[in-house]
Amino acid sequence: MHPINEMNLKFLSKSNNEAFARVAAAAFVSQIDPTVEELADIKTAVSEAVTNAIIHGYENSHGWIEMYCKLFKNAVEIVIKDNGKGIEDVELARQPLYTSRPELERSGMGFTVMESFMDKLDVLSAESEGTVITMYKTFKSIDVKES
Amino acid sequence: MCYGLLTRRDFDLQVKFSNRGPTLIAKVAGELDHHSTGYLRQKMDYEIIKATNKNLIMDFSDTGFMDSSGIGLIIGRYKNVKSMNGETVLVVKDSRIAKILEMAGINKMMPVFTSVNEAFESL
Ligand SMILES: Nc1ncnc2c1ncn2[C@@H]1O[C@H](COP(=O)(O)OP(=O)(O)OP(=O)(O)O)[C@@H](O)[C@H]1O
Ligand SMILES: [Mg+2]
Repeated sequence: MHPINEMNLKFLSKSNNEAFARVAAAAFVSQIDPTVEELADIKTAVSEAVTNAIIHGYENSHGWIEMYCKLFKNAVEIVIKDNGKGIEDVELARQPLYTSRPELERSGMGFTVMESFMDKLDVLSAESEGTVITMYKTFKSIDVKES
Repeated sequence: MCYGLLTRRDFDLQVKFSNRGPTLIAKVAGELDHHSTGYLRQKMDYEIIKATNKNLIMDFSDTGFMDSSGIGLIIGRYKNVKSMNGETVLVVKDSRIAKILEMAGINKMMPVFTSVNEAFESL
């Protein structure tokens, strides 16, 4: 399947950009007219990935976060990339309630939230290289045979 | 849904406090994420430690967005209130927020209601 549209964004790892990134992703995806609920799923998942890049990837120092969106007729692929510290053990990190930063009042539910609101989640990470999160969601509300 | 007219308010978070006897009610309106929890945490803890406040109702009826940052915020305030022998109850209307809280098992730690009155009466 070929994307019908694409969008790339690059922004600094400032916490103000959490809202910016999720709203930008939802606005881009809204052109294929998913439901409000489906857009809210996208916003939540993007917010989780971007927040992780800011808090864990760059540990609140400043670096660049990239977001790549590929839009299909009834689906979207969103990639969130940072060049931060990376994840030592991805399998462990993806466990519900695992957090490396309990002292920051993190709960370790970010990956679980992303998994439950998206259809597919891939995590690619290398220590001191960075992390790439790829998320995919099909919009069941959109009939592909239409138009 | 309109994304064209994004105002500053869309990114903002407001918290309003009120009291019913020794129960502090914190009404959280807007978007709750990592960016806004810092502010909210500080505001809430400042109220929680006041000697006149015992129990806490966190009212998320007007919270339009919450990600996992909200979980940490709720558990943190719950612990602070508990250390002063108070109880924490939540008011949640949005089904997505309810789902996130359930995934983290928050509904097993503290009661969750759909209205402030119900929450108040439970205390
Ligand atoms: N971009 C990243 N760079 C480095 N480490 C990461 C990154 N994303 C996640 N991690 C690691 O994976 C762990 C789990 O992430 P997850 O989002 O599930 O929980 P959390 O961020 O710790 O807590 P929560 O999201 O509930 O506030 C983090 O604690 C961190 O150690
Ligand atoms: Mg997280």
